[in-house]
Amino acid sequence: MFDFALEGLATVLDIRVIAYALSGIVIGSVFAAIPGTGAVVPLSILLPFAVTLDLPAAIGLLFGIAGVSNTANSFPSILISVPGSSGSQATIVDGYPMAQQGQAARAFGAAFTASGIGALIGAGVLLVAIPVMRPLVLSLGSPELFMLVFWGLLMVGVLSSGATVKGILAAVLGLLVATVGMDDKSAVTRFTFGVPYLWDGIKLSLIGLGVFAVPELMAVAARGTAIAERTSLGSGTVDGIRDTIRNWFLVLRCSALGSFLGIIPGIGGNIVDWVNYAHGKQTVRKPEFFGRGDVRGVIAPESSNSSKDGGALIPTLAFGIPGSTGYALILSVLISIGVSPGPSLLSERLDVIFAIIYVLVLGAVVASVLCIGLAKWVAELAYLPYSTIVPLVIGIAVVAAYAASFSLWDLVVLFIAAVVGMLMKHFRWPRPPLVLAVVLGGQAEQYLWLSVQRYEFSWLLRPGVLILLVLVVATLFYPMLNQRLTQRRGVNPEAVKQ
Amino acid sequence: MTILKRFGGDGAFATAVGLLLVAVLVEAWSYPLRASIMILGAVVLGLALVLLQLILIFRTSYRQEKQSEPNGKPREEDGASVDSDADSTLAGQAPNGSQKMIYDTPQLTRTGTSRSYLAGMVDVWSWFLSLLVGIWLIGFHVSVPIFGALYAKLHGGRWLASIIVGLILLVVMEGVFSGLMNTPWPRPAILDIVD
Repeated sequence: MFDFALEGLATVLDIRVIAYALSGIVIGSVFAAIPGTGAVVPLSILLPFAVTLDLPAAIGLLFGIAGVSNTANSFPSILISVPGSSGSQATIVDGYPMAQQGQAARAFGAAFTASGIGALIGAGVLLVAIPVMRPLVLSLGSPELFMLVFWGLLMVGVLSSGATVKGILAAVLGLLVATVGMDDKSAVTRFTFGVPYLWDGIKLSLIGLGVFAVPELMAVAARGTAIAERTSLGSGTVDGIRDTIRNWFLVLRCSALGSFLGIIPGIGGNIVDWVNYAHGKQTVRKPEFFGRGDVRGVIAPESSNSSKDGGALIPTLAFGIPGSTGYALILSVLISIGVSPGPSLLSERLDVIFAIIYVLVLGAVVASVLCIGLAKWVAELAYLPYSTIVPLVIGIAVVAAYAASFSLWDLVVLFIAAVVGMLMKHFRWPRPPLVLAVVLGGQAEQYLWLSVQRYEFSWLLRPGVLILLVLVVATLFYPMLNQRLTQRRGVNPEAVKQ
Repeated sequence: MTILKRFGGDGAFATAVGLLLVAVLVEAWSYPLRASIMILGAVVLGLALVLLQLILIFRTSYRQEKQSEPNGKPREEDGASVDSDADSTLAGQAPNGSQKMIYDTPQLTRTGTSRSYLAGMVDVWSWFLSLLVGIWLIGFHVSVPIFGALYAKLHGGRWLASIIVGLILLVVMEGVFSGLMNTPWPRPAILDIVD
């Protein structure tokens, strides 16, 4: 393992890889600081470009973006009370009052330090998990892997919206999108309707851009965001850093909890954020100051939302089940470059995992220093009017969509995906399950066919499959059962949720 | 309340998804088993879920109707549904939990039917569609920068800022997509028409 660690380090220490990682860190930070964009938008835009890179450069660029997306997103949360992405919503509760009291710089100091430490702890958790993951993954066969993928999809469907049926339906649609094109096993073209463009299937970058990026920008444009009133940053950045160090045990607890929650597919930044805010409030002394500009209310969610990424990488790399939408996009790039998650990655290409860990560590340090050092200038991004953001990002998104396969059909697919994405957003159908299912569809089909071909239907009786089947049933029915029991006890479920 | 009203837009969308699944089933029926095994499984599951979703929508709507005021008007004024989470998010409060938004980008907007929001939607979709048609007709290098500059200018931007937006788009196209990716740009359709 030590050899792999050194090999991974040698990979990352290449000047070209560092340049791509730094570019990713800057791009990720800029998009995170713009309200309503997050990591999915830059990842979707850069997907066609990333697949043309070699593996080390792609790791540097993509993990540079993904690793820092939960750092700079505190800018809009603290300054204008609008989250940069879903992982920084809880930061608003105490960060915004701090800014109103003239302590924005102190809040930034605390948020970025906590975020950096959290990301380092998350990377550490991933490192520690490698020896545990290896034997576990190597013991799984195709039937168990199929059930794991199926369970992962269900988890995301069930957890991603609070609307179980819509979530699973979105995953079903994603699975069907994944089947478009030439089937390698039977040489049958599926759902191509005589259009040669569809033989290669529908590119994931188009789904990412159409279903996520474009509808979000349309919504920002339709709302016509007014420019928020400027808040003075004040001084006290160093005090914020000291606050974080003084509350080291809170940082440690929230980071550990964030990493653990990140392992579960479907638990996203939003949940981790609020769970840790609540944890902080419940466990600190004098919690009555929470909600009125308490710096601990910034530290708790910020340390957890960054550490979550390390945890989310465990199922992504070990089982090929992405822990988040951003990692689903990255996974598709890794697969297209020739790196398959699972047994081969954990036994023959451990250097890749170490390289990812090094990039995450680099991202954590650089993004925190960058955000603290350049706060005055990066904060300006939070005040950008929609008339600037929307045409820039839509223009780049459309060009990036064309780069998916250099065909004007790409733009037609982008338009259709954007319409579907907008309708899903409007009717509150969760979109992450659709994207994840597109990524996992190919693997799921392969594992299913291998299982049937090798064991016929007796694979359903394998012990590992039966255990996973129990988990599938529990995942499906526990939320409904829980709701019924709560109602029977005469408790208002909405009140419980709140 | 008629059945159609009771289902509303959400029901119509679920029905459309159901019809799509039926079409997929019809198309996939002719494929060999190894090419259709997952499709058939997904469609069967999907159709059952669409049915369940329609039942849930119908039941919720029926309950709301029962709870509505004596004159039959729903409690939500004028039928406008306001995204409570979005409002709480904008106001800097925790979402109420009824609409969890997990690792989805945050919902920053009202998704209701307010007139200005709808007008904004129509406006931005028109721009988007015009951009796509423009790309087909006059090519990327002309339509994308013009789109950027014009959109920024006509939505309240200053001339200088608008021109900078257009220039940035041109630089990104040339620098990243032409320079790094060697993107082969399509021939504008207008040239074929002129020829």
